[in-house]
Amino acid sequence: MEIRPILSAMLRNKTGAILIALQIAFTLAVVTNAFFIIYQRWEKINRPSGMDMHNIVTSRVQWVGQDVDYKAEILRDLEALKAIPGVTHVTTSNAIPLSGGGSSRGVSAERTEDTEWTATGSFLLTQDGLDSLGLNLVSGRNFTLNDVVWFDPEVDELAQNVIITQALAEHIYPDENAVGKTLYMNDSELTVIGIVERMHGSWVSWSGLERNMLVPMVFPGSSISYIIRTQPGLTEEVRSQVKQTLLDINNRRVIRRIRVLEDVATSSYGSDSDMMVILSSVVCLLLLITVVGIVGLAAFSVNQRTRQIGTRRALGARRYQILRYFLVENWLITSIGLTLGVLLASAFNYYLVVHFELERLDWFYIPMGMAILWLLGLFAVYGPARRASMVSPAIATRTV
Amino acid sequence: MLAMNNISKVFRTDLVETHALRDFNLQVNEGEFVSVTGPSGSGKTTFLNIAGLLDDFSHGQYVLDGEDVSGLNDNERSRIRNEKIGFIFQSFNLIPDLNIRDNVEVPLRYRGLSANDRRQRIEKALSIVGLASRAKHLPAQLSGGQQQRVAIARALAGEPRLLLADEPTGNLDSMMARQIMELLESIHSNGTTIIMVTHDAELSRRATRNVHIMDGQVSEINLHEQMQANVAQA
Ligand SMILES: Nc1ncnc2c1ncn2[C@@H]1O[C@H](COP(=O)(O)OP(=O)(O)OP(=O)(O)O)[C@@H](O)[C@H]1O
Ligand SMILES: [Mg+2]
Repeated sequence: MEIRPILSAMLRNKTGAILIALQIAFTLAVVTNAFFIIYQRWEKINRPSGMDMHNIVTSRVQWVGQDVDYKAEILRDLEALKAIPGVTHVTTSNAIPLSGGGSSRGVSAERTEDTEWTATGSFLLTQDGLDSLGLNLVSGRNFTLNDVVWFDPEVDELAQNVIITQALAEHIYPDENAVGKTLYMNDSELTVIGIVERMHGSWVSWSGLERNMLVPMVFPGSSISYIIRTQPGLTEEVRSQVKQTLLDINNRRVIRRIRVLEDVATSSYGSDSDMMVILSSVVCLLLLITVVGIVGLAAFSVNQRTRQIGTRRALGARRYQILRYFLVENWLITSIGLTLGVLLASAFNYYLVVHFELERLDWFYIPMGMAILWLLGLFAVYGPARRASMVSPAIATRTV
Repeated sequence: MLAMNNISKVFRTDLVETHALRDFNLQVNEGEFVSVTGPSGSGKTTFLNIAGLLDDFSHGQYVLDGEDVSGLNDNERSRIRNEKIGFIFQSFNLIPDLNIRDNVEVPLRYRGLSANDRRQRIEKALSIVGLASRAKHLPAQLSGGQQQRVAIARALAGEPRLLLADEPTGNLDSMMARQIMELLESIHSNGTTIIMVTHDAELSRRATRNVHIMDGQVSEINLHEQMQANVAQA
């Protein structure tokens, strides 16, 4: 091949080549890290929540009147909601998972002077809680009606039995079966009666998202959430009836945020999907600018060298040899840029790791980015290179 | 060496049709040194382009070195240019980014010669034109006459059977022009066929034969020199 003379000719016309190589290096650095972040966000949004996202309708109810017998009213609501065609289970809850609102408690396997309390999402549900959320019980038992405590300030009794997520179980009782163990929370001692495979809590960006505790309790008060599980495909029909059903029982209250759980999650992941859109746009724009830069430099150098190309043709170059000359020249520039880009990409990632708590870039993003830029470079240079190969050898004798 | 029969070349643009060559007939024998003269725009360069397979033609037949080249495709024409023909241009046409050595190497690479073979040919060609010591220089570091000698070395390195030159001394002063002419004469004396377009009457007279082109046709052949050529060949 003719790499040496191409390289030495290139080194005599450095400026354009250096600028494009730097641009390619910069593009590689940004694109690999952006791809990495995009993929991480995608993974975050699409990780399994453990819940039946598409077939759950949630709502929050707020009473405005006074002298309400909350317990009686809630019991009536649960009856009425369950009677809506397509509804399979209903539970009350203190909070809606993935909504950004909820409560967390510190729990531990022991209680000593220096106990480290593990922050844990806490959901207060009825005996239908697991079925209403579509959770998968992997060991122990589900709640029964007898487990459920309706809180009464005069009695001041709290629920005794709890079900926890596998993530919480592994955190608190590593290498042990958590079922039957005592779970300490402030002054109270709870008993773990079951473990669910997975459940996402309230805050999607919290590292403790998977650590949750389900408590069979209802706090009758001026506001409460309902979680309504439906048969697949009937979610929208159920959703449209929730408001009227509840108002028919008592219209002196506000029914808010009747949403499918999937939509609750979508809006909570809004900043993540916004980030994906922004970064994807940046990636596309950068790649476009790089392609335009390569096309521009190649077209310029072909125009500049028309006479030289004609001379080469006169001296016996075949068309494909001219085409190849420009492809190889561009490939060299791209490769120099990419070599620099690998360093730049690693440095950029290091910066992001240090300052933005990003994870280390998976190594394969770099060869993937390089492959994309190599292909894009060939694609970009092909047009100008083909035009060069069509230059007539008769150009050589034309007097200027 | 070459025979053109009724060659026509028409340049068409949106507005005009230029008949650069019409019913052009010429035969050049092996070993001749032909000078081509004629007024500006008469078709000299057009003739040379067709002779050197740099351009195609509209009608007629062209036989080069015993081969009818009328129907050859681009790759075959490139190969013939590379192997049989050497070109010398008025403005030298060296590649400015390559040093002298690499310039001479260009056609040899297209021929696919080994590095060793290329090196020997380059050294030989550069020493013939007396520029072996300048191998690492860039074209811009040489005088016009030296640059043209590099171009001649580039043409010679391929050991062509036919050397085509379009006003090789057109950009040079008379001293340098004479050096180039002496170089061409010595190449000719080694058996290479040369066709040279020139405006310089004195140089033209030093060729073995003169072809005059007018309006795209061979108009007259200088009988005196033609006779001399015949005598020399006999
Ligand atoms: N590529 C082209 N397109 C259109 N017309 C052309 C082209 N090349 C040459 N011609 C025309 O063909 C005619 C012959 O041109 P050519 O270059 O062969 O003349 P020439 O004898 O070499 O002239 P000069 O002595 O000025 O170099 C001219 O009228 C010229 O304008
Ligand atoms: Mg001319």
